[in-house]
Amino acid sequence: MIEDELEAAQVSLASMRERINRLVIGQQEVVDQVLIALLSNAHVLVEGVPGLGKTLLVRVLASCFGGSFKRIQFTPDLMPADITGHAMYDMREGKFNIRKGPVFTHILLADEINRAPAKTQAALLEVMQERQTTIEGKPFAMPEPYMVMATQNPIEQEGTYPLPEAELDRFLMKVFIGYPSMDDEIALTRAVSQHRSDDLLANEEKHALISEAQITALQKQAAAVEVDEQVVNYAVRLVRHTRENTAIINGAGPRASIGLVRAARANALLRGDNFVLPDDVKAMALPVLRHRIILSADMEIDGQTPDSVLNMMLDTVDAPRL
Amino acid sequence: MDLSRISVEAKLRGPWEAIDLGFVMARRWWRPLFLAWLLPPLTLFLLLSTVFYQYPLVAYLLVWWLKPLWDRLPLYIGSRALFSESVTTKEVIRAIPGLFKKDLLAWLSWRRFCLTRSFDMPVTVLENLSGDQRSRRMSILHRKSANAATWLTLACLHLEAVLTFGSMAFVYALIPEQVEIDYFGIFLDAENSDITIQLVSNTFSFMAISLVAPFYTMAGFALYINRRIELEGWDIEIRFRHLAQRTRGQRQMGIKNLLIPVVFISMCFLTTADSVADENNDEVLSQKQSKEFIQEVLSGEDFHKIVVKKGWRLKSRDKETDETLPEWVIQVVEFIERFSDEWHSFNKLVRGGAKGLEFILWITVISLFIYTLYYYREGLRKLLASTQSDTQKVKQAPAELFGLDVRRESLPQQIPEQVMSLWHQGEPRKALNLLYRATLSRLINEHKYHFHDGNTEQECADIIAASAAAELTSFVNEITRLWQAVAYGHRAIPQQQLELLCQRWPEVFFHAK
Repeated sequence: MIEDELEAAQVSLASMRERINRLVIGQQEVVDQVLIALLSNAHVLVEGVPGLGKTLLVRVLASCFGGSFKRIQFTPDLMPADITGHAMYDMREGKFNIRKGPVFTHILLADEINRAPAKTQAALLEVMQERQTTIEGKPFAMPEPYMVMATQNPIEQEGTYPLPEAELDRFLMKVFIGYPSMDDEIALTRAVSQHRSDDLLANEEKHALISEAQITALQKQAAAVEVDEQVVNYAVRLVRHTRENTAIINGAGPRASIGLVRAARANALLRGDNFVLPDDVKAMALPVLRHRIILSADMEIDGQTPDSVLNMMLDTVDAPRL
Repeated sequence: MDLSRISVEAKLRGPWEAIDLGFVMARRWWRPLFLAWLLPPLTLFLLLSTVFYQYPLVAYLLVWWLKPLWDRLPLYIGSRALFSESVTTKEVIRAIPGLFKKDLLAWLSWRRFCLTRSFDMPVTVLENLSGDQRSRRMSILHRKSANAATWLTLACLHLEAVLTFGSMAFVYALIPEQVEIDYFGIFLDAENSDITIQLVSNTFSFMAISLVAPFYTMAGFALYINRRIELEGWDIEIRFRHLAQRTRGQRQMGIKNLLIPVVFISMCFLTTADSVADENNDEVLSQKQSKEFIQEVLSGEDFHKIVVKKGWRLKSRDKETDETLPEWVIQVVEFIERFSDEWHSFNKLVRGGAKGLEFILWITVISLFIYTLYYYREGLRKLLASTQSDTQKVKQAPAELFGLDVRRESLPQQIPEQVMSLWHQGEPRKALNLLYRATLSRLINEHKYHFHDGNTEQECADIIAASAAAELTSFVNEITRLWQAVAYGHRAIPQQQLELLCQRWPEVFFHAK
């Protein structure tokens, strides 16, 4: 990757970060992680209580590159066809017309994905994995770039259908979105209260900063970030360690190793470098691995969380040796 | 007591059969027995419950304690009913003082918790024995059936408990959930529980004991009767009385010859002749006749044969001692010998057992200690790590970090010169490697920084930045950045930057010293 390309990428990413952080106040880490997911051409699962700006984040992210944005509120009666689309008979023309569902967009917000039954979740996850869906036997590709941001509410678990581990694995990262700090909340309150509604805040700056093609180019740049063998080795050792750790009954699979290196590459690009450091791998370890492991019963009884166990693991796994 | 009027079949039974017979008797005469047991304690219970209303437990405890008294009336009625004698209420009431005062103190004090109460009670109530006479009588009776009598008491005790809690549980099952009752307070916090509920629970307990008591008394009485049938040969006597009735008036010698052994055997069994049977004229006659026959037999030839045996045989040692010492002395000596032997073996056993127990306890304590250490190993390791002094940390300083040998001995004396020498030899990566390695070595060995195996280069730099001087921090940041670019980015090393770092190296570490 030549220096000019890196600089151009830096400029584009910096402008996107600046706009999103200006509108989505107090969620810098979440914004970075969502951008990393976008650069990695992957999907992200966001967990957080309602009202923290998830919709706004997705809307602003889509506006950054002039992409389309759609939101699906998952409910227990939501059917697969409701999200993928279906064929409808046109009486005048005497033929079936394909009516595409809300998945056909650049950025899709799947709100409270765990409220829909497994078959609807599976339909979405198929779209995420294959980046295409089949309606009436005809495949339809998703637009590029394409990203699904699914959300889960950690509090209301009653009447939900938790995502199976195999399906969780499809998400590159699981991001925790928390409450903003005092100062950020003051700034947020001031900014939003000046508008008649929250949505107007997102409409404030609708012009695209970069094109869809540039996003695709950034994704290619991220995939081309140099990774030393030792760093790959480190990422794989970390993932394999989750399978050997007695605190974890179900460790992460090879998809986690792939995801970890991809996310580390995107993180390096976002950081402004064209090579991956072990620190990039470490920084991505928690969001990439936390939803792919299942803790043992005694760890859960001890009040340990996947993050605390992974942090302990990061301290014990040797850093790369040159 | 007229054995001919006994209302059960007088035959030898096993103790459990006898208890069954007692239960059958209690069922047959249920009404008088139950009323006889219930009325006196119920009167007292109601009276005490009224007087000690604030202390409901007093009434129940007192009634429960006086159970040996309450058992006597059913026993009196049962013993009369056994010989087909009907007892009127007046007779019973009249008998109460006499029945209650027999051995009153003993039964309400040291014999209160006697486990064979129902079996022993007839000796007091019916035979009217006390003191030594009673003791001797008891020793004979207790040779058999005492075990069954004990189990009878235990079984009835449990039955009372089952009935008490069962009836309470039954009532509890009928109480709607909406009615809030502090059950904990009722059973476990008696002082603070509701008095009415305590009274109710006392009533249940009283009902349970009054239901079980007639059966218990009659079963014990049946055991007692069974023992007497066995000891006194009632069954034999009754059979021969029947025979005697059939042959009354006949004086043939054949009959006489038949009666001789029968009466002889009967006499042998009749250890307490006074309390065994009422005497009537017929019986006196037969006894006189029997005596005559016995005298005849005793005066016969068979009892006067004299045999003289002569010959050599071994002297019996027992006989010898018998001649020299009185029997009781020998018994005392033997007892002491046996006792001392037993004491020694017992002492040995206890000592051996104590030693074994001590050994087990020590093993347990050591195992617990090891288990505790093992269980808290992580915490202890952290605690030890946090309390280690800097000197100890230096001792544990890693020999290798990021694959680099950071031991002091592995480094040359003049670092910057050696670095530049490698650079000029066309080994830029080796040159930077040496400089970075030397920096880490100094930081670990002289500046006492502690890095974990899991720390990356950037984390090491951050640790320095958190506490070191600005110059050292800046130097470490710069060299780390350069090292990362070379190691992970495979970038070329700018000569000027390396020269600058070599120049700063002695200054940074010289000032730092």
